[in-house]
Amino acid sequence: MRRVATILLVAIALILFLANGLAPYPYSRQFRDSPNAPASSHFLLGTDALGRDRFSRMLYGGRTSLVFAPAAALVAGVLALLMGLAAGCLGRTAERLVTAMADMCLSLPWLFALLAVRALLPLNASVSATILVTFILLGLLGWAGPCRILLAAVKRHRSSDFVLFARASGCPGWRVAAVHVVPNLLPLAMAQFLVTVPLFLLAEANLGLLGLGIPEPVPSLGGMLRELENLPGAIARPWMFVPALLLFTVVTCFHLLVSADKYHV
Amino acid sequence: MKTLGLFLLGLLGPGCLHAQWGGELRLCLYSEPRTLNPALAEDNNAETIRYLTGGVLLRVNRVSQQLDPELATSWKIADGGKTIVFRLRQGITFSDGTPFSADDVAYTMQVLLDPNVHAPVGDTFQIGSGVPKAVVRGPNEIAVMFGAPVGGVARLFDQVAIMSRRSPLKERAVLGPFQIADHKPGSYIRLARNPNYWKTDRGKRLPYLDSIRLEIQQNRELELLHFRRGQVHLISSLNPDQFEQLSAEDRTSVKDAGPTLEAELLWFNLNRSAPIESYRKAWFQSRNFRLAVSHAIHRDDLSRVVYHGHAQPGVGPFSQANLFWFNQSLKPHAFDLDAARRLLAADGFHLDGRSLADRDGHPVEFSLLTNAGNTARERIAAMLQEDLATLGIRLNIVTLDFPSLIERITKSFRYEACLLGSTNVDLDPNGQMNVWLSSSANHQWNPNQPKPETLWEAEIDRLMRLQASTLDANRRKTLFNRVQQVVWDEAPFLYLVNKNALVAVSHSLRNVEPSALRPYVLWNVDRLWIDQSK
Amino acid sequence: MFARAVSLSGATATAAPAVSYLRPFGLAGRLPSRGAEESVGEKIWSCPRWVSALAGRMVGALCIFLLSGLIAASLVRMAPGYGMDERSLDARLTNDSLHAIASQGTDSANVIAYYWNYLQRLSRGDLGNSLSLGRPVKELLAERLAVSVRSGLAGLVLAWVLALVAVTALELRRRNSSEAIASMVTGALLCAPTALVALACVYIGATPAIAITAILFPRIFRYLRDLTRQAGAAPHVLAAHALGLHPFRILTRHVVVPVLPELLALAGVSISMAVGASIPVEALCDSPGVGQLIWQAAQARDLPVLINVTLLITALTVTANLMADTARAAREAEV
Repeated sequence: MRRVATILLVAIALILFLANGLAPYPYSRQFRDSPNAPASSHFLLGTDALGRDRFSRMLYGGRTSLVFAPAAALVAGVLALLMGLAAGCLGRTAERLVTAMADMCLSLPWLFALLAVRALLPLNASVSATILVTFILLGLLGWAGPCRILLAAVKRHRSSDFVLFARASGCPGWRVAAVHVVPNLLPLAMAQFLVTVPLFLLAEANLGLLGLGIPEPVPSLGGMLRELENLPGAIARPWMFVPALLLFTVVTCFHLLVSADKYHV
Repeated sequence: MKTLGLFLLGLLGPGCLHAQWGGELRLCLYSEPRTLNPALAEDNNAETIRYLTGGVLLRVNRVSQQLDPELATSWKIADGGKTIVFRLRQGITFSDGTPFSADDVAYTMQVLLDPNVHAPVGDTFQIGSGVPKAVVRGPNEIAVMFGAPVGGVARLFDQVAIMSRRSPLKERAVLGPFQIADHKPGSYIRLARNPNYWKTDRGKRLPYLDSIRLEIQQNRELELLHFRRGQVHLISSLNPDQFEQLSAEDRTSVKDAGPTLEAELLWFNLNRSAPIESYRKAWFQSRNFRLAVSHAIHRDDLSRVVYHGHAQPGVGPFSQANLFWFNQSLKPHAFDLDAARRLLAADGFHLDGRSLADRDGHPVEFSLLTNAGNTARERIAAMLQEDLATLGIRLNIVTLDFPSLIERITKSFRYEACLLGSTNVDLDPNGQMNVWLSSSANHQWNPNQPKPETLWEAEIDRLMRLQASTLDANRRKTLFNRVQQVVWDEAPFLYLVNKNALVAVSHSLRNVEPSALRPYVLWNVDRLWIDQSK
Repeated sequence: MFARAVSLSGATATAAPAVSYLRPFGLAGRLPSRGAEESVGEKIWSCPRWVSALAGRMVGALCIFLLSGLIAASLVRMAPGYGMDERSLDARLTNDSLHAIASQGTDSANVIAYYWNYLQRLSRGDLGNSLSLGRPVKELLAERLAVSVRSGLAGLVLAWVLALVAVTALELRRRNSSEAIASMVTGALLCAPTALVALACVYIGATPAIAITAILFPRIFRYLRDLTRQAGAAPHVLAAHALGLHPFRILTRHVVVPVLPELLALAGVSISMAVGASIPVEALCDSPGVGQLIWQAAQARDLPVLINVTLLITALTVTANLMADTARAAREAEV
């Protein structure tokens, strides 16, 4: 299983990396005589509503989304880990502060903060700046839920035998955290990471409603998945599901890599 | 005998089938109406409710676009165009039995013109100087007097739903074919037949329908699903993708009623104090630049690709749907890249590699603001991006939520170009007065000018004021034709497309004659009937 | 056990039962000290520790509650588009009318004063009036809360039940093929856009609760699975397997129990997830719940509705997490 997942991931990564060479057409080129064309030898996955080759857009969009979404998930994960550690290791005040911040982060309507961020961006912000801001925001806002779970794990591990022994033998706090606690949190953090990647990828498409997200004509996997919201249309054109299949394959392969029999008896 | 009857029936055709009384019409509204008070109706949904429940003095026939008498049997313009006098039908009562009289018309006008109410319909009466007033001249005669002559004043009353001064039900007592029977906020509104509706057929009071149920349904996909399942009888405004889907399933269930009064248009920020770079302001202020952009836009492609052919290239403030006022001599700005390049060259623009640059070397790049969530508009923007790229112009699309967009185009003016749609309720150009007058807040490209900043805007101001106070329709048309010509020449608005009215109608709903004017299918709601056998 | 404890790999989970082994040696810094006995008087008048801890937490929760409302009001007020009305684009309105409409949005210019007034009205049970719908917020919430609670709670419970059943099944039948199938199912659900899930549920005639379940299940399952997998690799679990204990007994007694704190934390967080999921689901499934109200209020910048709803969500989140924290603290004290 792990071998299959690894091979698939490497193959996908290679294909996406070579998008510039493999894509038959530029992602923005509109074949206006062939909007919503079916899959064919000219257009492997058909065209979208503006006549743009879906296969090319999937390659470029996959590359963008599958780089930035995991990066944002990593930011969220690291932030959650650091906050959880701080809360669990620095005393009750820190814990209360962090849990309060996490609760508020989970409750507040951050939509309006995102609107404010969009307002601050220049009108002609570059594509890369907009993409970066989008995913950084997602990363910064995605830490609260995982942080609480990680905090519970930190507290449990802090009262475990080996940590107590480490402290008894004079190990400084930072070393106890870094060497004895963090490695035990990694599986949980990985679970969070694997859940967060597709969520962020899809959230990017929704952020387009606020003026953030990946701007036209740059494609994104999230944007392509939004085409599926016209369900009857999508079912009539099953090739439209291929970008979803790509995302599904990547996410599942990651899951399989993580969940393979590492921990089995 | 039987054979003769069948023969005669065959000759007369299915149209003569006798309408059946009864049944409930079901359709969707896309959001909760802001108010159910007809005097305050301003959004599409509230206006739909008003149309279905309100009785008016005169009605603009949505097919012929002529005025039909309703609660008024006749009207005349007097006093040099400053007064309109109505003779009212007698023997009519409101839905609760309260008698209708001229006093109710006076009361309605009083409510509409209340300065604290700010009713859109009330504001349309304040075209000339002063506040109009209604004077009762008898139980069945009323005069509405204006401070100055107002051209085309009669059609204003199409939007005025008469309310009762004396009824304890207040605005819930109506003169239209239906009355509000039940309202669950966020869920549905149910209208029941008005038992005292004054129109009849074969001695029996109209409407044919017993009730109308309007489901509040924001999601168009769900609306389509409900239609397919027969839970909804009609969809008043299908989007082009849905039209094609339904058409492929059942061609007879959809109808294209032709171009509407709605247009998709683009404009540049010509506000001199806008917080944008001065070199960009200079581009937008240039007529050559605006026209060059217009010539680079492939309007036929927009109609074909985005609307699947269910749209027409835009020309000016009115589309061909406006039978009287549209300037037939005008054609859409042609797609002509050579003409575009010549216009740009005349202003010193030149190609710097593959990008266009102005005479100071600034690469020509600007942002286009539009509202998020409107698929057709987002596609139009993407196509404009490609079109302008052929000239070397880089267009950045910025989609914002609607309140943020409104804030930019009406308050902060922190935008460069904007793509939005215009919806005309009124056929008469007076309905667009606040768009064309340079002093108005709705003069989108450069609002609230103390005095016109350009000669052509001064010319438009003059022409609009003149036609508003002219009584002769043909003279008014000549004046407004000139306005349309100036707009075509100067291109403050680039009219892209006029959408067609696309409707879906269940086979059981009869007597449907979709109009390209709002409320599309419901314009003859009192004569719609449901074939119970289907 | 000692050797593993001081190993630098850190990859070993330690089970809770081992902690009790350390207690007599007093090496656990946070373990209760066994000092002098308390006097009878002190016992009568001193608050039990858990009560004071709970009281402290509730005071903290109240502070979070109040602060959330203020921050929410500030966010809404400061965001672009606040006070903007679609009517300002209505070409029929005169300049005077447009000015009057524009000035209607200025009453909440000072956020702190606005919020203070709001709290005063809240203390009298007045939640204010919705700007976009023109109705008392109390009425709107009363109509919609039941719908949201039903679908949200049902969706959440179902998601948990399914996740627990799935995890139990995987633990009892430890096969790579089962893990692969589970990964594929959760992967597919995670990759499906919320709108697609909601619409698919409508098409098949399922309730919004099913859509919420479909959205929450993969997230809860993934956490649960990795927690149980990690706990399942503990030495005492290996020992239990070696002793031939039934897998179900091992799962319930030796795998789940040590990770109960994380499970409780996940339970608290899943309530926030359910609230988050219900907003788009209700908007898309046309379910007249609080989620749909939030969506409409956000689009209209309806400050009174948004403050109230934020406070409601904060109360829910804080209460859920408070309960989880309390349960976890009680569990730790017991251990």
